[in-house]
Order: sequence, then structure tokens, then C-alpha cells
Amino acid sequence: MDGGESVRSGRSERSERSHRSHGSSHHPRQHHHRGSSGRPNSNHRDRRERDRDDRSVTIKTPGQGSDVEGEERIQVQVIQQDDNWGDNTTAITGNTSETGFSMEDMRKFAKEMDDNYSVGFDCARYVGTALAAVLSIFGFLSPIAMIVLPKLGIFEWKALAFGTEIDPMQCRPECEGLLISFAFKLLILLLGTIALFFRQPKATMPRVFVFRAVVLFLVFVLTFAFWLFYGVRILKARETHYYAIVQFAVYLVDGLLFIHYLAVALLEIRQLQPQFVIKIVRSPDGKSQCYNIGLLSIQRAAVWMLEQYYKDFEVYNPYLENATKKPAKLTGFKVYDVDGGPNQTNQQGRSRAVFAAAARRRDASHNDRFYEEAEYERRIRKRKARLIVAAEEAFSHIKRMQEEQGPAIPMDPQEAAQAVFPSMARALQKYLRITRQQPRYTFESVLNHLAVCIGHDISPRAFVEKYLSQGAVIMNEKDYKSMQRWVLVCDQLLTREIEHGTYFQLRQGEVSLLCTVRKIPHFSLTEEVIDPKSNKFVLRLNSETSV
Amino acid sequence: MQDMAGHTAGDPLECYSIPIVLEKDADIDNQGHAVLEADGKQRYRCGFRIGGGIDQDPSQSPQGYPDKGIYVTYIHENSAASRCGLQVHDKILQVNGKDLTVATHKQAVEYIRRKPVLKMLVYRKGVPQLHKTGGNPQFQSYNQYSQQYQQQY
Repeated sequence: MDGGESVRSGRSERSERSHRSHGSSHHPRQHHHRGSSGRPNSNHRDRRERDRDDRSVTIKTPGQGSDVEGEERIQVQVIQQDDNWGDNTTAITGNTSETGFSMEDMRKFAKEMDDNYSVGFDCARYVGTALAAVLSIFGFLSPIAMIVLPKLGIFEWKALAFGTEIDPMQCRPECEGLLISFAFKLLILLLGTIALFFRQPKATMPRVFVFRAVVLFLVFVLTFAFWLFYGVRILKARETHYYAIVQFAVYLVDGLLFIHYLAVALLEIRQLQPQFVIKIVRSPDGKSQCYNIGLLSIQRAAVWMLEQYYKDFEVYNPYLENATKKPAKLTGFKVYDVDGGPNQTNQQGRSRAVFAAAARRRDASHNDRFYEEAEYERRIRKRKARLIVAAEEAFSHIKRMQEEQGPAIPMDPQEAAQAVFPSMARALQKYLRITRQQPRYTFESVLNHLAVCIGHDISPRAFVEKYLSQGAVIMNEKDYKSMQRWVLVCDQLLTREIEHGTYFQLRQGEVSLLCTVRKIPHFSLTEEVIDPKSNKFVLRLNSETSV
Repeated sequence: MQDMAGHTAGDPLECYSIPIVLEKDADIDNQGHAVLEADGKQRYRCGFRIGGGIDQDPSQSPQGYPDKGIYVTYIHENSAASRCGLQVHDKILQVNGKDLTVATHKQAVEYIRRKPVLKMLVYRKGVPQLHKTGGNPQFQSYNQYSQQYQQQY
């Protein structure tokens, strides 16, 4: 059996007629079937003799007359087959191999595999963030713990009072001031961290995010060191001056604030100043764009590029590739007669010549391509004009209820949309068809969009704008997913910074983005002063020439 | 100024003119190397400046020339022009046989630059000295509508 390609038909007589079959990979078996089943083959098989009883076929070579001695007779034995499942009709597909999968099947499988993996890999998305959250909470709560612990009385401080009247654990004015500043610093740290770092991570990167790891490491080291000193100096040595403890905690908060400053500088501010220009080229259709970018690692630069890509690039429409190509004229092809039999070798020789001629014709058709594209553009413009006219006419039927004086039936926007849509439905459908967008928009989605536009007093051209171009990738409703997978390919380590001449590639399905990095050159500006005294001019009324 | 009456380009003209032969200097820069034209030939300098031409407007000329002829507007010192006797405000009538009274500015420059030796006919006001009364005017132009055709020298 072919690799899932062939369409099985019931046992029919039509299957005996020649079909456009693909390639020359004919099974000898098919000859058997053709030979053995179906009665009305006699007109095709004049030169064959068939003995149906013992299911063997004799095939004669052509052309030498039927009664020449020594002609070849090929005896072919047909194995008893179950005829109930009928003949195979092969259809033209993208598969040239009879045993392999076609590319469409592979793509289907690949997609399923990706979806299956999504459950497992989602944990990876949150591990980094969870670790960061744990460490920062640990760092945040440490100073609070440090000043609260002595007051809790767990460690029996008070028992070791020096016998003075003043309880050193009580908070006195300078200590109170310190406590207030401590509280405020903590509050500022909290607000700053929440404002900047408490958000959904926008990307899961393949390698460790180096700067964040550095910052977290510093937080951990600082807190750990402080706890170490706290344990040794304060708990063990039973420090009784509360002022000292509060001061110790305040120093920890200061340290954390400075680390927060470092985090802001490293993670947010460092990449703001543009130092490089990255050019993205999209692979199947060749669209390109350039962006400014600061100093980032390759993986972060890739994330940034994807954000820009989703906003700036048009949706890749795979059907547009063939939009301008007319269907290949196969009139020059020899239509394969599967029952060719004795003529097999000749036909193969002839077909090779035919293939070569067709290929040469295709090569010489660059002129045709130019004219086809011009013709396609013209047709698009014509349909676009018709669509806009139809939309304007349709919108002119609608008026706001307040403006209408006479008796009127009030409708809400949905109903108004349904009432008005049929007059422009055909023009819209034709336009969508020629721009190959019709799989993207369903009837309901168009109606919803129309209702929204009517309800907000949007002009007809603005309504139609959504359909006039392919639209930005992110605005594509049909393929919008909250998580998108991309594959990052680069020959350098992904945590290295981008440099002049770095290449990396982002891939998703058919779309492939090749990104090239160029460093913005150092600009050396020199000043030129125009001295007003020497900036004088004379009028040259009559030209003189020096000879 | 009555002798400097304007002459319409293209009209027949009879005039006392001064023949001047100017041999150009080879142009040499500061280091003593010859200055070459674009095609590699030696460049020659005459040492004067010209103005005017049938495509120019004489009313705009700062020197106040009356017509559209080619006039010498400036002569460099120690140049071939000063040596050969050319003077400022001379009107050049002919160069090497080419009539400059009907030439555009660019054409006049081209004719002058072409050859290394210029044989010019120049009109200078007041030269040669003529008796003013009853004598023949130094400069006589015949416009189209004039019927006078007197041979005057």
C-alpha cells in the first residue's frame, strides 16, 4: 500500500481509465489489478491476451506484428487477491515516494508533538521566577525578622539585664528614629521591587538569565552574611542594646536597596541606549526590517526581536506564494496511461524529453512572472475599489436613531450589522478570496467587527481597513495563542552579548527569521564655525570668465 | 561715448579695429609643474577676463557696456594680455577668424581657449584718432532697415 496517499475507491469501472498518475513508480501489482479486474478493458488492451480463468496475463511487446516468431512473451502470474477492496486510484500529491510520509503528514505530527510537550515544559517557565521570588522574599523579611526576634523573648534576653534601671531593650528616641527610617526604607524597597519586577515573565529563555542570576546571588550572599553575623554577634553574644540591633537591620536594608539599584541598572537601564542595529529578514517571503537595540545577550535580543516582529511584520500567508502563479499548463505533458504495457520503455524515454522541455519553458518564463504579478496587482486594486464602494454604500443605510426624524425601528448594533452586511458581503468575499485571506475570517467574526464599527460610529473605510492588508502578526485572531514557541539557533553561546556580525535565527514552523547584528559606528562630529564677517556675498549680475 | 554706440548682433558692421596677436603663457603652478587640462594637454593662460555675449544682458553689466559684444573686463598684471597690448574695456570683434559679435559667452570662451596663439581684432574707443567733424566715424553699423551703404574708412 502506498504511504497513506492513495485514495481507495470502490470497485468501479471508471478506475480503469487512465488517471494522472505520479512519477514512474508503478507497481507491477497494479498491472495485475488492471489486468485482472474489470471487463470493459478490451478496447484498451487490444494487444493483450487475457486468460481470466487462471489469472495470468500475457503481455506482448509491440510493433512487430502478432505472429512473428521469437517475439517476447512475458508471462505474469496474478496472485489471488482479495478483490473486495477494489482498485487504487492514485492522486497527485506532494509525495514522490510510495513508502514515505508526505510533508503534510509530517507537519501534522510535528504539531501534535509540540502540543503534547506543552504540559511538561510549562514548569520550566516558572522555575526561574519562583526562585527569584523566594530569594527576594527571604531577603525582604530578614531585616524584619532581625528586629522582631529579640522582642519575641524567645532567647531569654531580659534575664541578662545588667542591673541598671533602664531596660536596654526598650526603644529610645534615637532608636525610634532609626525604626521609622527602617520602616520607610523597607517600604520603598518593596514598592520599587513590585513596580519593576513583579510581572509575568515575558519569555522563557533557553539559557540562564545571567544578570538576574547575579543579582539574586548577591541578595543571597548579603542576606546570608548578615544572618551569619547576626547569629554570631547578636544571638550568641547576647547583645542587649536594641539600638545596635536596629542599626544592624537598617544596614541590611541599605544593602538590599543598593542591590535593588544594581538590579535596575543591570536589568532595565543598561540596554536602553541603542548600540546595535539588528536587521530581521523573514525567510519564506523576504520581508525585512531594521531595529535599534542596546547591549543585550543573544537570547534577550532574540526576545526583543520577537516583540518587534509581532508588531511590525505582516502575517505570513502561505497561500500568497501561489497567488500570482497560474496553474501549470500540463498540456504539453504526455498523459500517463497506466496500462501502457508494452510501450513502457518508450514512454519513459519520451517523458524525460517532455520534462526537460517543460523545465526549459519554465525557466524562460521570468517575463511571464512579471506580467502575472502586474496583472494580479491590477485585479487586487479593482476588487479593493469595489469593496470600498460597497462598504460606503452599505454604511449609508445606517443612521443613528437620534438623527432620524420619522418613524423608525430601533436596532442594536448587532442587528444593524446583520441588516446591512448582505449588500457588501459579495464584494468582501471576493476581495478576501483574491488576497487569500478567506480562511482567516469567519462570517461571525466579520459580523462582530461590523457591529463594533457601527456601534462606535466608525467610518466604512476604517471598517474595511482590517481586511485590506494582511495585518500585523499579533492582530491575527485566528492564530493568536497566549504562548508561542520559537526555536533559537545560534552558533555562539546564547548568554554572550551581541557583537558586530553576530547571526542568529528564530524559527517557528514555516516562518524563519534571520537576524544580523551591526554595531552603530562611533560618530565623530567636528564643529565648523561660520564667521559672520566672512559670510558675505556679492551679486554676480553679469558673468565674467577668466581665460 | 558717441562712438561706443551699441551694435545689434548680426547687423553688418564696419569698424576701425586694432589687430592684436596674443601668445598665451603656459600655465605653471607654484612648484613649477605644468598644469594640465582634463585631457592631458597643457593649459595656457591669456591673462584677462571677458564678459558679455549675445545670451547676456548688457544692462546688467557693472561696466555699463552698451551692447552684447564680448568685452575685456580685467587684465592680470604680467600676463600675456598685458604684454600684447590688450586693454580693459576693449571689445573683441574677431578671434582667429571667428566672429565674436554674434557669439554667446560660452562660445566666446571656447574660441579663445582653443588655440595657443590668438589673432584678434579689437575695437577700442578712440583708437585710431580721427577727426571728429566730417570725418568718417570709427564705428559704423548698418541696421537692417538702413539703406545707407557707404564705404567708409
